[in-house]
Amino acid sequence: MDIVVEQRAPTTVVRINGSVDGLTADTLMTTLQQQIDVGNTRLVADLSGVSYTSSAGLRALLATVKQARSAGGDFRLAGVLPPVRKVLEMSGFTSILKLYADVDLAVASYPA
Amino acid sequence: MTEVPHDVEMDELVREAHRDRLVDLMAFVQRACERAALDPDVAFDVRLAMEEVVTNVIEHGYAGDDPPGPIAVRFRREPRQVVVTVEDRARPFDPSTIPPTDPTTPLEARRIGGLGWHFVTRVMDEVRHEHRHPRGNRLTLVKRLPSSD
Repeated sequence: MDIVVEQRAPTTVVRINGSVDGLTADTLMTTLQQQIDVGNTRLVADLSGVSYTSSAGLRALLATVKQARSAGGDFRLAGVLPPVRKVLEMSGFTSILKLYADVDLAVASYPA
Repeated sequence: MTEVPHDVEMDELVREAHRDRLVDLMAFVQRACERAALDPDVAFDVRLAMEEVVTNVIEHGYAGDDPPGPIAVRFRREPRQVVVTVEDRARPFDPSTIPPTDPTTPLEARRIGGLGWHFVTRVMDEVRHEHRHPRGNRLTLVKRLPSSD
């Protein structure tokens, strides 16, 4: 899994490529927490390069959205591919996290 | 030894059930799915169920055991289904004690974790658990293949 962090005012876009699973979820969670810790609480995850996730991956997403919201921000997902969407739906996460078709729409969903 | 029919492919991997071995176990499943030329949706479900089951054995089955015992994963491609078995020598696992996941639980009440078994039972067509003697568990997971008719 590769992660690229990009500042796109007023948000921070985290572009993820690869699998978000038991092998990589901790790295992702640490990266996202670091952003929240420095005050970048309006987060967008670009998941258009993620074709696999598991409960370990969802743990990272859930922990991040809880932290971001309690810090006054949010964690929104963009470009979710069908297999990952299926996992999100099975867990009911689609009613917790906001999903957008692409990064531009997710960035624009935050007030400027 | 059981004779394996010519239209059945079988792979097996045995590892110490340690977190460091998860990478081998995951790679094994992915390779087995590729070798069996599974449809991507089927391969996804098999990979997901396997990761959840293997992680449960490592994190809960052998919790506190140092060193942990073995985990054996078998992948069997039959003409109409894929059968995966996971065997361990860990403490007894009782699937009926796992609380059902309610996907409508709001964020504030969500626990981190507890979803893995829910995924296993959702994506596989059959899930069977047996206790092994004198110790251990065998989980058999069946995924039917889409009909090619």
